[in-house]
Amino acid sequence: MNMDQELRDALQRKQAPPDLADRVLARINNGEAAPASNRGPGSSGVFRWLAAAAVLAIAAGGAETYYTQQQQAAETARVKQELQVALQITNDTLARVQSKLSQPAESSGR
Amino acid sequence: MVTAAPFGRTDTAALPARPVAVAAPSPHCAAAQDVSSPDLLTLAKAGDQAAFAALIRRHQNMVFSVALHMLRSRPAAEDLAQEVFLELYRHLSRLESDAHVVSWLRRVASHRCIDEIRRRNHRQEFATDTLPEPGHSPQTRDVFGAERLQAMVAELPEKARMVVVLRYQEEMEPTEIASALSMPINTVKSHLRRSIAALRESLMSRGRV
Repeated sequence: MNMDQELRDALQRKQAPPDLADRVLARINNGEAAPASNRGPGSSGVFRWLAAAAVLAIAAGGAETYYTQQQQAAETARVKQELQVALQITNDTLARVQSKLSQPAESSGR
Repeated sequence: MVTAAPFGRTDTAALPARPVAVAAPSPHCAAAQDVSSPDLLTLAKAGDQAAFAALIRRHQNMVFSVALHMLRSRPAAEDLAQEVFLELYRHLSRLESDAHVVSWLRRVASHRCIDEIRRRNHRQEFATDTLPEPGHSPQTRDVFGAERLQAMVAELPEKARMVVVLRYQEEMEPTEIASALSMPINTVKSHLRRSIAALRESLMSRGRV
């Protein structure tokens, strides 16, 4: 068996429907296809570049916004931690002062 | 009635009456045999619908057959061929020669077929409307064998099937197939080798060899 020849025989070109061209033309005349030349020379290329530029601009803007938000969140966390330390220090100081103030009163009462 | 166009030839019945010069034809390039093609393309690009219709008739068997061998359904192949020619109309201004038209049509038809198969999972379907009518292919020695072989080709994965159809229907070289399908040449050769082996094995298991 010659496999190549069998495949050529099996996959011969077949006759397309005779009205295929007419049906395609009817669809064209119904406005289903606008030729590329009607869109203006190079317009698709220009639109492609504009779309790419817009996507890049949006991506850059998004990245900048994300970076700013991250920085703000980090700054907020840092300030919050410093405030907690300050409150802790203040609390400890007040406790020591109160302790010292209460000592003379106890000794004079004896 | 279905008659197969010889490989690498155009549908001469579709051509307007023009002198046809003898070129140095490539056996796999339909356009190389007819130097009047650029005139037809130029007319079509200028908006001549009759010229565009003639352009369709020249290439419709090729596009329709690729779709039919891939999809195994005449209605689906007709729809796909129409879509391909509508897309051709949209892209006419970018095409420079009939050879360019042929390679563009093959590429677009191939990709659309693969997309269609993936979308419909067409491998599961075997439409009965693809069965050849008696006398369709006078060159086919064994109609039932050819039909069985077509069905076996239709069971190949879509990319392998496309490679086989382009190789044996369109007589394209592996380098041309690689270019049309945007596929490495070694992948094309691998698809061909494996597909032939699988088809041969399947035929042997059915007692054909």
